[in-house]
Amino acid sequence: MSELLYSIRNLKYAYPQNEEVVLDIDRLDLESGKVHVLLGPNGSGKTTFLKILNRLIEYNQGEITFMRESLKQNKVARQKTVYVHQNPLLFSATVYDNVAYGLRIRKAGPKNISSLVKKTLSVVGLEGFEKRRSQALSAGEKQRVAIARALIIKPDVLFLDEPTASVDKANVARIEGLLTAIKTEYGCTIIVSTHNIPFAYRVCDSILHLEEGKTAEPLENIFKGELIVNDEQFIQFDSGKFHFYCPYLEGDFKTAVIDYDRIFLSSAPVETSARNNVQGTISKIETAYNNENLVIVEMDVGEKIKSCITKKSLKEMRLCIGGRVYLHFKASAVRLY
Amino acid sequence: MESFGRAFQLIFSGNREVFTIVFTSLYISIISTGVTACLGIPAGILLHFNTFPFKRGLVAVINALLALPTVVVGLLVFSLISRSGPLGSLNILFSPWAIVMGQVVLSFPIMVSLVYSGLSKVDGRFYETLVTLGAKGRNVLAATLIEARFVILSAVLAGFGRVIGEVGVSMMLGGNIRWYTRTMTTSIALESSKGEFSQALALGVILVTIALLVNGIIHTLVKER
Repeated sequence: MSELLYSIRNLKYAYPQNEEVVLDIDRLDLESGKVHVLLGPNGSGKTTFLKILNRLIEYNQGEITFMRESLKQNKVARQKTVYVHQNPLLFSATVYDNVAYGLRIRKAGPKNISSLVKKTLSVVGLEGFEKRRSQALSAGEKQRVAIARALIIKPDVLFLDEPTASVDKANVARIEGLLTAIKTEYGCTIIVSTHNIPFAYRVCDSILHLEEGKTAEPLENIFKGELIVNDEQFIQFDSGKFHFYCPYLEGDFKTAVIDYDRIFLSSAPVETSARNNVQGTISKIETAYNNENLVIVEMDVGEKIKSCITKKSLKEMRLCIGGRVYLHFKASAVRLY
Repeated sequence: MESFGRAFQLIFSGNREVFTIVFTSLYISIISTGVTACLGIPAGILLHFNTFPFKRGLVAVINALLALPTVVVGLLVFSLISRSGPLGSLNILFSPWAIVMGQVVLSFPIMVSLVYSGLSKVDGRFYETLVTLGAKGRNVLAATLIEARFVILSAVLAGFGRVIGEVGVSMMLGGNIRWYTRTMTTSIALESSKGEFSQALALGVILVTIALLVNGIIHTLVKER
């Protein structure tokens, strides 16, 4: 069961040496147990935001709560959240000493440390690396040692700043797999910043766009699942509860994304060229946060799926919560990651 | 050439006076380096970790003191420990302890400055990494010392290099007394003024060897980082 982990209200941040506001977030809630992805270009404020949440930077305006207590002076936040840099810095020592550091300062026993280092290194796929010097590792290996060093203290929240920025394609795939393993093995919340769009969609449970310090919830439906080939011509994406046609692409796709405005609605069955025509029940109607003339209609089709229509259409179609509606979207409206 | 031949003869024959001078130089320099390390390393660390008014000014003064002439240090300490000086009652003038005192004054700014600048070069991510992993004040200090161990050792060796090769302090405060305070540098000055180049050269060869050895160690340490 997900609980409210961070609650951010009216956060504004400017670096002391420069009065320009680099972060301006009115309202944001982050739930526990999920992989939250911050997607944005370089300089959008992702690193600053992660460092504020990790208390490496003290914010000067607004309020942030962590586990329903103010983040400022929050000792639990200090001890139970770990930030991993974009290019992590390893201590000039062996891999073992690096990974063991968090436990040593917590006065854990040597036997306990030894077994946990071994276990954590196996989680990140670096078994047998204990005696290697940190300077002799590749960028991808350094990244994984830094993640192991963070994981060994069993944090509630793991912040990963651009984990794929300086690693090759093979290591990006490894890190993707690693995030899934971490979630399963440690059950911690992971907050990742990235500008790698495919990576973001593949690993996320929720995604947040950050541009020039402002957050925007993307108006898109994200489904996790797998591709199933029905026949030679068509391929479907199956989320377990809902399956739909998507473009025929080769690859190991785990995420399907459909923009709200690519799904159109009808109050009665209609014949269209769209491959996906489904009946659903309206479960929620709310005004779009960025445009008062638009409404977001949430429907239940086995999974929750949202569409964005104008208020005028809502009125003309007489849509209401609990009412039946037909959804239509083309296979080409589905983006696969 | 003849002087060179006699110099090597003095070294390899184990001449008692030459080796007494070398031993005196080494033990005085090692003691003064040890005392300076005990004072200079904590001072450099404190300077790095603390913010206070006029810190930049203090750092500039310490850096300026790197060029302190040895005779000025000798003069300063002489005025302190001479009979009429405030520390005259210690009665250490023209003893090895007087040289130690002068050499500590001479090498203290070197060690403080090198430790401070070395720690300033430690990557900013290092402290963030420690803090995010839950390290507190004492843990941060310990980890910094371990991480900067090569910088600190280099500072100590640089301090040693400075005191083993100085002549002004040893001459003014030790008095170049045979079998007691005569060091390699004061002996070289004396013997060469007397025209006895063989002993001066023998000591010069040993001094240069020690200097090269210390520099070699510093170079290896820096390379190892």
